[in-house]
Amino acid sequence: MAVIDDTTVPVPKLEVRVRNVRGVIRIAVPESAFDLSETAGFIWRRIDGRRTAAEIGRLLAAEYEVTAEEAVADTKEILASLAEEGAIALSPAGPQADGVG
Amino acid sequence: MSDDRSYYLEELRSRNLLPDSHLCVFEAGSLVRGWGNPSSDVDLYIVSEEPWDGPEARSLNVPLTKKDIPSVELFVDGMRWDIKYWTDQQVDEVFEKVTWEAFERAAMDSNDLNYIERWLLHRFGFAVAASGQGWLAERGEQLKQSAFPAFLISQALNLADSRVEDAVGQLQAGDLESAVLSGRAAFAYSVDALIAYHGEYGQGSKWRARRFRAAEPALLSFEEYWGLETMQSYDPADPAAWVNEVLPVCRAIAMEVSI
Repeated sequence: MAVIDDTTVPVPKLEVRVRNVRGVIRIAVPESAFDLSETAGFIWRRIDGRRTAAEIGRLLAAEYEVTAEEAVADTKEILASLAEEGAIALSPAGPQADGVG
Repeated sequence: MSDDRSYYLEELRSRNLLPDSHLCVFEAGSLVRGWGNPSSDVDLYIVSEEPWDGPEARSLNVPLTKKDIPSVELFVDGMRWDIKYWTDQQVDEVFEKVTWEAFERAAMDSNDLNYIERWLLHRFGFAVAASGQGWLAERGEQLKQSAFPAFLISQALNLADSRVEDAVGQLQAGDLESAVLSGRAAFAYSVDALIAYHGEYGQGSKWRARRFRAAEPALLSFEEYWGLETMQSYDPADPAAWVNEVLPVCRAIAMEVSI
């Protein structure tokens, strides 16, 4: 499992297929497809190649009224899982351009 | 144009082009939408219980039990009229292809509608009756309840995905010109999906700008859309920058539109 710290920047992989199936985000990577939980979907929508894991975690905390510490920890766990699935790339620190080439 | 379309009925009747048993005569197309221009046609649909067997018709092929749609073209006061004769049974069969069960069976992929059937369905979204208002209103409601929009969105997103993947691969290979063309195609399909999600079911470039304005998607302003459609930020010295600008928009659209 990837190690993610506060300054890690998750970067979208543009070639990953995404669908919104009646509000649920479905991700398709070459080997599999899976649906995101509500929390993971919230995080996914905020991955823009610029926000750090901690920044996304703080947005999660504000949305769900949990502590920042708890939200950032959850965010890192979910980002690690998404990276493991090949749905996102991880960059050590931002800001990063969202793109290829 | 007047909302009174009885003129069409009188003209059709005088030319023996209106079956007595018709259930509905409706107009659809750019004129109805207020998008007409001097080269626009009057697009009329006549739906009856019995097939039309008028001698002047040519046939359009459809993959239905009755496999042809008779079509008549004529000029009235210098304007071209395009008249298509459907049976009620054919319309039923088209709707049977876009049930939610059919959508699930297709695994959110394509359907076997041809372009004539797609035109019919998307035109139910804005058609105006010259007669048979009740019949047309029921079909319009049937369209809203159908999976037709979901089919359109899925197909457009699938096509967009393929072009995005092409663009990404081409960028990685340094084939920038091909990547730009793939990015353009991806964006076009993505926009078609977005505006279908907002109730504009036509496809293709001809009316895309009009349809975009009518759809008014919150995700993308018209100015943003138009800037990408016309490649206003494209820099010949850095083609990849434009591709990297447009592909995230395609991705955002895929997340926005619910199927």
